[in-house]
Amino acid sequence: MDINDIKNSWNSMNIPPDYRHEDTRELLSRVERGSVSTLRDRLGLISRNLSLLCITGILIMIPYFHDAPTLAILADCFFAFMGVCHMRNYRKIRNLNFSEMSVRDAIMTVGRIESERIKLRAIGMALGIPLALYMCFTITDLFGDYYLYGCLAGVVIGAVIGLIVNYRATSILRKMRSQLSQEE
Amino acid sequence: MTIVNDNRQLLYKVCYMYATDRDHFQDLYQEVLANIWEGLGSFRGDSAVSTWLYRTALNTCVTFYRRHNRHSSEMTSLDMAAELMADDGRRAEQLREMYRLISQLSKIDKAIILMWLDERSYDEIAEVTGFTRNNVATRLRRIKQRLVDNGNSDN
Repeated sequence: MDINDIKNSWNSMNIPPDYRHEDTRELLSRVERGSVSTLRDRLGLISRNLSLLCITGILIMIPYFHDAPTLAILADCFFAFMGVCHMRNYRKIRNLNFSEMSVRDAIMTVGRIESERIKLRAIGMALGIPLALYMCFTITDLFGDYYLYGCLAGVVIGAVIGLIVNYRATSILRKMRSQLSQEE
Repeated sequence: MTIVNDNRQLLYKVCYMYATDRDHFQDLYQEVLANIWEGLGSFRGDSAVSTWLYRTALNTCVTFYRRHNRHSSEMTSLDMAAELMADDGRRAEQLREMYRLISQLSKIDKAIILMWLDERSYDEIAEVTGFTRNNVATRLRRIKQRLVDNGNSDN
């Protein structure tokens, strides 16, 4: 096998095959209209939505400041912390510019984003699970068993939504990283 | 997007090199075009257009994955490319063999060999990949040796 022969063959190839031209034209017009989102956009959207979810959490806890101030303060601190972390992640993803960074930098940046996401998830679980339990007990104490059931249902629904969102984002980043890890 | 039309061959070659089937190729090509479109505003002309396009296309391809792995029963794009692009049987066979060997390389080695095949200078390869010129030369020597060894051992 002669590598230089292959190089010559490669350079004499006529790409693209003609049958692709129509597809390309349509695709170009969609890109120009801005109706094509990139992987970066999708990851950014997940982080932004999680930040918005945290802001919603802060707002939901405000009415509880009167009856359970400790719980409200703890929960709002938790949501504020997680919201800021997700917002930072969102900014990092938005700052990914594949047109300016080298291939090596792109690989390392994606790896760093994934590492931070895993750390954030661990911190979120370490703080969130005890907080959720404390929330359940406090609300039951204050308002009776019916609130406990409501609270538990909320925790279950929240956990399912959180796991789905987390699974989506993690699988995106993990697959990206698995393809790249050998390069680091 | 005149820039795309003028450099279509370059973009197609990068996407073909990283695609495993037709669907994957379409996804990659779409992602590359979207990233070029997003990055056009920040292109200051510090480097050649082709270098900038290589950087954008390669970064997109090495960090891209498909959310759903759609296993296509069609020929792989690599086979398809070899059939469509070569005008004689011997060359098609040679290109198919080259694709097969290159597909065994890691993503960054693919990027380096792809640029070398396209007769890009070591400096340009170094600029796009982020390695030093010497590092590129060393890696290229190893990649070529590996391709030759794998090619010879399979025959």
